[in-house]
Amino acid sequence: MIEVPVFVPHGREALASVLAIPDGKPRGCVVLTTGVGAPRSHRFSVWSKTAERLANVGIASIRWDYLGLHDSTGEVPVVQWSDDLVRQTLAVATFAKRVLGVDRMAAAGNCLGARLALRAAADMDGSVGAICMLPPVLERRWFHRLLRQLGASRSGRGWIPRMLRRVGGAGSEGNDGRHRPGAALLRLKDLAVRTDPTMEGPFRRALRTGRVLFLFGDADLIERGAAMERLGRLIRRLPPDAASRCEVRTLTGGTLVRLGSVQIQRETIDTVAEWMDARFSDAP
Amino acid sequence: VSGVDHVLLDRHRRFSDPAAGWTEEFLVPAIGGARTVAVLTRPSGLPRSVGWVICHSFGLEQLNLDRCEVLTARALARSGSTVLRFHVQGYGDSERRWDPPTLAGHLAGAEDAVALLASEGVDRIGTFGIRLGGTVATLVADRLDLPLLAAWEPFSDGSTYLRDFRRLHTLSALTGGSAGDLPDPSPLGWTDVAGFVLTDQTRREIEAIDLARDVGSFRGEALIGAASRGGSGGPRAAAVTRHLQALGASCATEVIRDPTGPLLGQFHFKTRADDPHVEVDSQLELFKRLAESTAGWAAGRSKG
Repeated sequence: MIEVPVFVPHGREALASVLAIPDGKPRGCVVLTTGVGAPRSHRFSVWSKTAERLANVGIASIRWDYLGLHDSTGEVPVVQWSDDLVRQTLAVATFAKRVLGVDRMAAAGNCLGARLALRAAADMDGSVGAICMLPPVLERRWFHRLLRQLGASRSGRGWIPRMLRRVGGAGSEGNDGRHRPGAALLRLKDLAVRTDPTMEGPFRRALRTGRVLFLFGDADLIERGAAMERLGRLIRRLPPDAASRCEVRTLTGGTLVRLGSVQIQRETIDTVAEWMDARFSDAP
Repeated sequence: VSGVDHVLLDRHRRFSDPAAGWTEEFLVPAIGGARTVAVLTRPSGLPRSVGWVICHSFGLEQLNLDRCEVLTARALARSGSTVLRFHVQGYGDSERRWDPPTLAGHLAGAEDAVALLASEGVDRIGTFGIRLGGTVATLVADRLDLPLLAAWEPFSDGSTYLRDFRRLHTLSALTGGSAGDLPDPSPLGWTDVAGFVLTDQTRREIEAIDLARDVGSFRGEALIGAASRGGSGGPRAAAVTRHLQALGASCATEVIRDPTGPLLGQFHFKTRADDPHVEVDSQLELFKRLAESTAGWAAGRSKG
């Protein structure tokens, strides 16, 4: 394997990226994207380790920094979902494809990067699929924001949490010592969110030519339970052949949030490498 | 590698921003005994004779402070210096990415980086670092008898740093990581600190740091910086300043008043309360001021 750091052009700016190229002709290339705050190599070098594992099975990869962050150029005061983020991802993918001369591509990412991986898989020519770790599935409705703003206000600080507890029921103590809200409050929370409407289209498009794997950590089941449930609903609405190309998997070893344990990092690297190996082995 | 457009790759190793006043080039040098990725930032105009090696900090601070270090490298280049930043073995894009980072690796890497920068034709080289990176920068400036040093919030002793490291990682654990306890010796010879592999050996290396004992000859020019909520320098920077002055070094001190100053080294992106899809960098202003402050001081050091 060789690794080549490059500045991928994006308008007048440049996206700092590292191409990992296996010995011999690559079978394809994976675009590795992070969440906000992690550089291209990811926390604890999880993406650069994954890149090495992928190269060992003949798969190239490109990992990259968002515009204005880490080694990329440009200035961004805030990071938020935008069409330009999609353009950045596709610019990196197109550059890699051109340099490597490969036809088949895939994408993997976590959090914001998961959303971008799905979009890339939907929009890249020759896509074989995407891995979406902790995908932001939910969008909050207006009254969620209203409650949040009221809760943050001085007058709301006391009575809103009290009211929610009263309406929501007593709840219970979980095995892990954390408090579980009552059923009514869970219902209220469910009504306060909806499936991100911008997700379904790319999800369906990505499944036309490839597969999609959603990843969560076992410790994410509670915090992300609503997201997983919505994801399940989304998958159940798919035609059977598309649904068969989609999988939700839970890794052991804690939470995928910030990759906060050595075990979850190992599981992530193994899973991404093995899943991608299988995708590039599938018949085109 | 067959089928790869190497000409295209080579053409994109560099990026020039004449309006911003700097040019950057990716390098893949051998530093710390193996290959790693480095970035050389040069002034767009005629370079002065001064160069800086950026010594990144330890553990998760390496990525939490990298935006500050990039801004500093570019600000220094804008004011005429040539700057080299790189990943120590065990971090980021380094070849030995599977090995846990060590303090010895930080020191050896910084020394190799100084030699690399010297080979670029830079006469006067200084080291720059924040928190434990500042401590490493101080140790290397002393070992190599460098004329310049810029250290922000450096630790004069390793045990204080480790206490702070544990606190930082325990905070990280609250948002999803494993517990921050550091048993000694640990059953496996290493501890999973919220995802970071801290070996017993590295912990002992850090615990043994005592700048009062380990730094004995630095007589160059130093900028010792601090960032605090109230604008006072704090005991850590003061202890390092006193020691360097006692050795005969010329020390300038700088304090940046910023509400997030005490959080330097921690995760700094916050979700905006009114819009969960917007991530705000809560320390961007602090980083910019630290970068400009360092570059302003360094600009006056270019004559030698």
